[in-house]
Amino acid sequence: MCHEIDSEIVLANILKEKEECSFFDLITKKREIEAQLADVWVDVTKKSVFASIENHPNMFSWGNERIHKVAGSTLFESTYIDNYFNEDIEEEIRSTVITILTE
Amino acid sequence: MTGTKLFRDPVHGYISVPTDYCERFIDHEIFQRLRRIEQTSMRVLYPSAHHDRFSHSLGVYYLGQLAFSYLEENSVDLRDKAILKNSFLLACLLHDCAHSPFSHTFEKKYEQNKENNLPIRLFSCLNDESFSEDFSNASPSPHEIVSSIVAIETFGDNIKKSGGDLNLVARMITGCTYSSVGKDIQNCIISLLNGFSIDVDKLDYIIRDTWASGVNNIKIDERRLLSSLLIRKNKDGIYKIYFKKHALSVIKNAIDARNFLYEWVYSHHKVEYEQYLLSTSVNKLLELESSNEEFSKSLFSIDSLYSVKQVKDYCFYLPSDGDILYFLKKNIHNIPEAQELITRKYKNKALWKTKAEYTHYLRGIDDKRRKNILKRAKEKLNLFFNEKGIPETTVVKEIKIKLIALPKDEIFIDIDGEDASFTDLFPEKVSSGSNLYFIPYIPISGYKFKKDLVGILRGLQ
Repeated sequence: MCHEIDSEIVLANILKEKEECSFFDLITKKREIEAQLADVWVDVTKKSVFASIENHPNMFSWGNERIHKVAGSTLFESTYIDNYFNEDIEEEIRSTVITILTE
Repeated sequence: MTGTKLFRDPVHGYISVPTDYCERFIDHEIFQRLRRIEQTSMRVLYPSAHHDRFSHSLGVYYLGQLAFSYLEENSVDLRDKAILKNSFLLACLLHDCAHSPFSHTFEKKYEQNKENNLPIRLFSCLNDESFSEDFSNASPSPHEIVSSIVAIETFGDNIKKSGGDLNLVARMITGCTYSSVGKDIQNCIISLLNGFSIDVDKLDYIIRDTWASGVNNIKIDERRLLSSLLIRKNKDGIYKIYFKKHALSVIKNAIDARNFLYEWVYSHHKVEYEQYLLSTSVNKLLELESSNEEFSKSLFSIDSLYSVKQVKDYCFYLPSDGDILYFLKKNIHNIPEAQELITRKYKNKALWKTKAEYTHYLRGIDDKRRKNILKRAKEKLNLFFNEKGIPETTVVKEIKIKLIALPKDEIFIDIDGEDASFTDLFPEKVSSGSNLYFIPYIPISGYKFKKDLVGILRGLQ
């Protein structure tokens, strides 16, 4: 069965390490994960990413064609990201996915 | 052009299509297949919502015609742009030409099927480096990528004969704007079909889904809206699409009508449950057939749209909703969810039905704890049912209502020749806040314990 990684997981992990990213960055990570893990599909489309931004207004925002970390957000601490987002990734692929997203 | 044919449409009235377009595109089996692809998943809720991708495609073509003719009338710089106009009208007609069976529910399967080689296959069709560079910024949905591929591979010659440009058609279908300078008029037209907030695709499905369901939604005066369109340079000298000020009320209505459908219809608890049954059934079907590699490769395959493929007892050709249901019926005894779906004898019922109810029941609980409740709800509720001798069939579904939150400077208004941003005029439309929640679907016989069950969930830390 194909494992699916939601765009909010991708955004949370990438923005944990930096202040902003572009769609190009997201697509690059998607391709890297899918190349390394055969049965994984990463949901990065404009529609899914904007839905994630909309659903996490305390974490992500959109401006100047980039996705930004909301200034002063306290939700990017590791335990929150791990408990809230990363636990949804199946265990057997979790560490590989997180490593690619955060490196 | 050799005359026109008229299609009677219950939403827009008569839709006039050039006979050439009928012969070259509409009469083709790929386009006719769209008659067998349901437009939405809401039929479970509204029994008359039988409309399909075929009528929607004609509707988008109609609105595209209307929009472009008003743009030509209102914008000096858009006259004599025949290739742009032809490409736009063809993209409107073909924008969903390879949509997945059951539309959005399974479109991701086309990307998950590595044999389809998305999006590389699209890049190869176009052989244009700038397209592949701009593609990431567009991040199109799988059905848009597949529809572009099929439009070019199947209809490429006819698109050219009809005066269209392949690259432009693909860019319009995928919403892939140019990053290079001097292409801002093209970018305006791309966003008129596949934009962020208001485009002819969205307009048609909002109006059509409202009509087909019979739901009392806000009415959109599409003629007033489209007649206000113009393209002109902004203060930085870049061409942008503007709405004249007389359309302000209709823009608000269009945004509210779309959000109404997403909040109350597409995310209705019954629709969500049926979607769960359908997608779980198909995933189980693919698992059951996993020893037959050709099966999963053929069911969601672009090549199955082109020619008949025989895999053991199954025939794959122009797969549509009916094929999926047929495969599920063949496996009805092995897939309980398929049985539930086909007989419509649901085992479960929503513990709460709306986000409002969820907010009420989980009031005073922060996001972090709500997520924890979501994760542990199934186990805890089933434990309760086990003690009561009730079947442990609980399903917990996370719901994400996709409402429009307008980024700043997305919709521009022309006020007597001056620029204004819609979000500056109506700042309340910028964001509607988080719309994440979840619904526990519990065994029907357990519903009488609703208060106890809510108490169990509220007590989870």
